[in-house]
Amino acid sequence: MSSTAARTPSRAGWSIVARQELTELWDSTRGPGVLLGFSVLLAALSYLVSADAGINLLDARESVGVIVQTAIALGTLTALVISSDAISGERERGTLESLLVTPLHRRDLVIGKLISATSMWVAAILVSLPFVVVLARGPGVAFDAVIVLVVAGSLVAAALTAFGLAISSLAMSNRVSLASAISIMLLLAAPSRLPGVTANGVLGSIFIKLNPVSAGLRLANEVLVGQQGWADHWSLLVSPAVAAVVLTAVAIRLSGRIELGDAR
Amino acid sequence: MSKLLTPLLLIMALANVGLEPSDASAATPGLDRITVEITPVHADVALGDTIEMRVTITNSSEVARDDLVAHIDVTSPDRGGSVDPEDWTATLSKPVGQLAAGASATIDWSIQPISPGTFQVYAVALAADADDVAGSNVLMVSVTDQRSLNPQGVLPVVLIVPAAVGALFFSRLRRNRA
Repeated sequence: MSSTAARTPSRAGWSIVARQELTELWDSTRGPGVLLGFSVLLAALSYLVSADAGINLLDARESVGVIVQTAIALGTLTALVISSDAISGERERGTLESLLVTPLHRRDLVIGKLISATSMWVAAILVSLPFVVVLARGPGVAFDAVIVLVVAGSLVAAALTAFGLAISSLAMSNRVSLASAISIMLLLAAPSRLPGVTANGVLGSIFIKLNPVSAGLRLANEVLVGQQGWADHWSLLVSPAVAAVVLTAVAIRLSGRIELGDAR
Repeated sequence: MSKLLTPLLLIMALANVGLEPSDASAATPGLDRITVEITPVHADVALGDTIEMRVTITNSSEVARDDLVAHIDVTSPDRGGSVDPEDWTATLSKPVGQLAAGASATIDWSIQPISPGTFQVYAVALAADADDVAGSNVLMVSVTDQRSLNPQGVLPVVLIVPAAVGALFFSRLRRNRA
């Protein structure tokens, strides 16, 4: 019997952790502070692109695509920042020890923290929706824009939130955890900015489809800007969905390897 | 009988006299008998407004055409002519379709100026194997500057959403300080 299994298991252990973490995140200034930054950035960008789209400098559909892609990227980043701080932050603040001695499975600890970090993405969606709906009304793509944001964005966010938590479990320093997670996210998002010829080539296309972040962002671009149907590009959802499942499993699996370390 | 028909057919062939009615593919003449007209001839708009214009192409020749393409361009002599027409419309060229001898075709275009000033819009008709084009009159466009504080109605959302999140943030800040 493993040491974790020997502890008193609580079937609702993860919900206790999740409730506690959600309270800490949203009753403090941490969650609202990150969300405020997100909303201000999105508001500024929305105003700029709508001013340009109003005089046709930026096609109205393109402005919706820019806002949805930015909401997915920045919303995911906010959840990633919270998740990559989840374990390494506790370790650095010296509070991990007290968590590990509670009669909770480490798996419950990770699942609870994962739910808490995911709430950041849910909040980001709620903040983004008014901007997306208002901008998408003009070109008549509000439904597609909301679906892309919620479906593609949630899969990308779930994958990267789990990824951040996995890194946080392994990294002894919070700085290392945050820097690694954000750097890798930026690297994954970069291919979506490839020029059209490269991105539409055989290798570029495969690379973008295999990469969950660029696949999600490409889907937003194809459906909202390229005016192409979902049926032509549903395959772009495969890698974000697979990544979300696999990385969540990895993050939970790595819970058994959480060590106290000596981050202080 | 065949001895009589053979020379006759030979003469007809040399004289390019077909037994079938002539068609466009038999020979493609130049476009000197094609006329292009834009209406209206003048438009005063504000920046961001759309101009609906109509291009009428008339085939005054004796042969039908199905290979014509209408193409528009924008220029501004005041600025040395440097205007990118793709900023004004996504579709610069449109096929005219079947145009019988003596017939006219109309093509509607929506264009949207992207900067203030005076511009000239004109259209031409082209054919793949014609070595000339048929040009139109000029649509004079006068665009006055216009900036909206509430582009696409986004201003209320831009103000309200960060304000609501900010209110949440400061309420938490106040509570935690207390």
